[in-house]
Amino acid sequence: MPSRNRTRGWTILASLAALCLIVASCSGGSDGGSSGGGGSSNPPTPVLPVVDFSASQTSVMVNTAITFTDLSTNTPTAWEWDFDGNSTLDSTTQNPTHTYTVGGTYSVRLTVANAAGNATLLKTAYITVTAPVSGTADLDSDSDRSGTVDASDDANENVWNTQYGAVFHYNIDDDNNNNNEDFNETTKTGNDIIDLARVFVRQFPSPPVNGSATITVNATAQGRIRVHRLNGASWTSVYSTGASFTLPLASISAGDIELGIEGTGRLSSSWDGHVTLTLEIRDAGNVLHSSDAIRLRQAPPLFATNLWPVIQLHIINVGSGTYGNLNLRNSLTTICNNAGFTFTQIPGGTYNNDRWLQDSSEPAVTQVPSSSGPRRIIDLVYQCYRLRECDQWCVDALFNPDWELQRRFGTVNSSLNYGGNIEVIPPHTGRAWGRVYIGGGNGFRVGTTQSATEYMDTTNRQYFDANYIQGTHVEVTSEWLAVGHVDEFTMFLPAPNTTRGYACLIASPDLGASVLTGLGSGGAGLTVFAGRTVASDYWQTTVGAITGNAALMTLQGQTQARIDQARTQIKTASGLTDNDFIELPVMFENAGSNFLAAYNPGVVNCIVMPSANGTTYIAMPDPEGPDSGGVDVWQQSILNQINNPASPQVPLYNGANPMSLTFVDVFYSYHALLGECHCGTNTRRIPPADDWWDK
Amino acid sequence: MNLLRTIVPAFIAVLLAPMVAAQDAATIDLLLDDAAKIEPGDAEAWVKLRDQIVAFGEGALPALKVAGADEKWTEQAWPRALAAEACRARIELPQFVEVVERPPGINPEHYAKFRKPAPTCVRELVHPGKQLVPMLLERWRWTLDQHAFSKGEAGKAERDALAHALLYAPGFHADTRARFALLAVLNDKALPDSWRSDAAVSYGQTGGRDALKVLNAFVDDGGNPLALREACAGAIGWVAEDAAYDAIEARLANTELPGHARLIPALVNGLGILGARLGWQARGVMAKEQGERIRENCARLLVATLKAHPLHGAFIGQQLQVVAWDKSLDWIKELSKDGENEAVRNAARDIIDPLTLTLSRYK
Repeated sequence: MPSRNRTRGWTILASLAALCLIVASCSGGSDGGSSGGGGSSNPPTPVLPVVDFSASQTSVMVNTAITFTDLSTNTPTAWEWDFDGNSTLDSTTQNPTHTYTVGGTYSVRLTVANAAGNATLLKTAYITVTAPVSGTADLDSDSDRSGTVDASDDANENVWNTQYGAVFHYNIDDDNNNNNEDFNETTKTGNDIIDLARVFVRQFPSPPVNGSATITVNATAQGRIRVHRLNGASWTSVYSTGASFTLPLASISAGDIELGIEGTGRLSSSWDGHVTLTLEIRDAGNVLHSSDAIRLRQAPPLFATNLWPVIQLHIINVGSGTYGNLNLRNSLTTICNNAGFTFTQIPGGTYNNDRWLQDSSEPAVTQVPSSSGPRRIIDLVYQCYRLRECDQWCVDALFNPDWELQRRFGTVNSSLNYGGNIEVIPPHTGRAWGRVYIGGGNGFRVGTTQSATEYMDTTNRQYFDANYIQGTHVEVTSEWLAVGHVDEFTMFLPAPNTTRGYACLIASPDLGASVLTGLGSGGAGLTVFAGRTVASDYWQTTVGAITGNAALMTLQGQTQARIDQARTQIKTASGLTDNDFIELPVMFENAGSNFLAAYNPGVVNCIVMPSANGTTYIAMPDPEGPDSGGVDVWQQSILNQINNPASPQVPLYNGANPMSLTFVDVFYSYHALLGECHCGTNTRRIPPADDWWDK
Repeated sequence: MNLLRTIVPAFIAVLLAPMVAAQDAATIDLLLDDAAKIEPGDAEAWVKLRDQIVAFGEGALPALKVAGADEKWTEQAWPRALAAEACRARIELPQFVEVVERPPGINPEHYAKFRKPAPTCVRELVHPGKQLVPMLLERWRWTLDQHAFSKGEAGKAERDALAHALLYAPGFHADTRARFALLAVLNDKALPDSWRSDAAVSYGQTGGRDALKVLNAFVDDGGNPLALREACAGAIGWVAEDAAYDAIEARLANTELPGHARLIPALVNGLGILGARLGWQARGVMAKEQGERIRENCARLLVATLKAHPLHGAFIGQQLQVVAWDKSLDWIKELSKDGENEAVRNAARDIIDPLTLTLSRYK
């Protein structure tokens, strides 16, 4: 619509009025004369006009001409029309015709004037112009997981399966290093922008007049995501709670709108990570014009298996002395130097010498599609509900722009919640990324009918169950242990020369005992735990004292039956067979109230470290068995078991995949304190070059 | 002259030494008589007297050995023998005095280092061996509470951990000297059931046939707490005698036994303990024949119990693994096919795999 200068327009109107008066006066004013009567020569007294008008139609489609008719009285001599109520002069014709080209509801204003003055009438919302809706609701996400959102994403965008469906992630890293999960922040800048999964609301050129554009969030995902909108160069939050959010129609008609989605809630029993966003375009009467839905899913944590190559090993430095770990640190320094791992020793004083780093957290990664490659990998650490000093290490050392922190949750401070009780059965049929297994159960303490009922916190278990790649979790009996962790009696390791590619080390108290009884009467006097004679923590004994102790030996058989039960549970859940297990000599003893712990250093609780150079390094607790002929019989048993010629694993390691096994001293530094070297370390590993979402 | 000056006093000392030793022995005997009269828990009186005896040093050892000889640990006189052996241990094993008096595992600063930071001191009190038992019993009888336990719940847990260790160690070492001390705990209704249960097991491990009578009576008395009766039922299995088998068999068969259904797992546990392959192996070749007989009986009775109580199948299966009697696998396989109902057949079927694994270890 053309616009005119308002001031100039009224000047012209006033001039016209004056001219009309002059004309009327000069012409004798026939109208005025007749109305004045009497042949008087006085000019008629002007009367203010009374303004009114009508329109030929008040409800039309766009581009339909409407004739406006002036119905004013008292002889107006000038007219000014404003057809859209914006106070801009549109016509000075008395009965103009106007065509609306854009849908909407318009107010019309007419001002008329004569010599007596002027009058204005505004008819509010007088004309309704309906536009033919042009466009279709269109939401796009990276449904084909290419890392970019493009036309190819339209197909199958409303499903989520192994082939299609966009992925976003739980934005729990800390890109701005403020120790605050990024999902808590309503504006996104810098590196954090890359953490948003893109969704585009495509342009809707001509939306319904007075309609609405609403994006609804499916019920289970409400409050578990945040949606940001790109405005110019900045991102601002447009959704965090509730059932829906709206977008301005004008924006949609102007062009595409770019949104970014992040997860703000963890997977749980009430949310499996699925999100369905539905864009609905409705008209003024709230009648649905069109809609489009997309389906996304929050990436799950992928907990590391022992088959993943190690790149970094962490340990708490608790100094030297009886309970110090100098010997272990020296051994690991050598291993890491040979393997090319980064070995990070954390000053124990920072964490009150809480040495149980494995228990503080469980390492994992998460992966999302990437435009710069097949996937973007984000390190993640799951902080366990433990409430001990070195838990803070997760925050201090790991929580950063490239390392996400899944902070602890739960309510029960049980040792079963610790990281050592979270392990992964490596990939097997139907489980390309393996399956989480944890310890717990409801049974008796070994050798008794005293109750032993303890589970990992329900919230944690539900978290693992909601993990649709590595869940549901497998629970194996461990409630009979003093600490209660699965890493006390099981540990997976690569076995590259086997069909399955891995094996499970499993503690065998029966083997531990039979190795000693196998020494016969001549071996009875041999020393076990030689030199472990600190009076306040005395361990040294003899073979005969062990093998002649009916209580201790009976306990080995009882414990073996319990471990066999756990083994059956793993087999049932994974399809593993007895050939996939390698028994190692670990005897058990009462560590208090008939809950058990390893008697000899628990060799199964080892650190398994595949490396990029092809060698798998294993740091295994020195079992400190008796020397017979210069050989530690438990050590020899371990080597025999791993390279057992009667087992199908043989040889576990040769040629391109050698094994480097180091027996490490953990006796007083860990073993005497109810743990071993796996319990005291934590690893950072590289996941397989594979996508989880197509499995 | 110089030679005389040297030799004469030495000669006189040699002549007088037996007299001095005899005087000391008499004094020590008197002190031990007094010790036997000291009430349990009277730490002040005991420590005062104990220190007098220990002050004699190595010179007291002959008298203490006599007073603390195994045969002196009778039902009436065991506190005196205990006092003698505790003092002897303190003189002979001074390096372990500290760990008994202040076990690190119940010291909050130390147990904070544990992977599970809860008090426990079983290992440190058990590992030094049977030689420590008298000092542990001394601790139990007279100085249990002579310890700076933490306040509140932590202190209760520390005290409980100490009590458990003190009661566990004698049985673990099968130290028969402790049997009457343990019997006293078992009979003391004022003590927590968990302590009495610990004592019951230890008593079964040390009390022999005498213990069997007591344990049977405790099981049979429906007025006793169930947890204690269960502990006693299991403890019967520690009496490595045919009579123990008979006792368990009779109680499994006696459905009139108060709370019979609840006691079945405990009796099954007793069978597993009694028939344990490795337990009998530890008892040596002299016990082999008896062990074979008892193990076979236990295995048969476990299979029979499975028929009657398939709901306990998993636990019975574990006890069959503990007993590891070769032919039991055949019996279970037969039951898996010919069991009189589906529950029995299923229970038997579930046992086949683990029992096969167990027996494969002994081939």
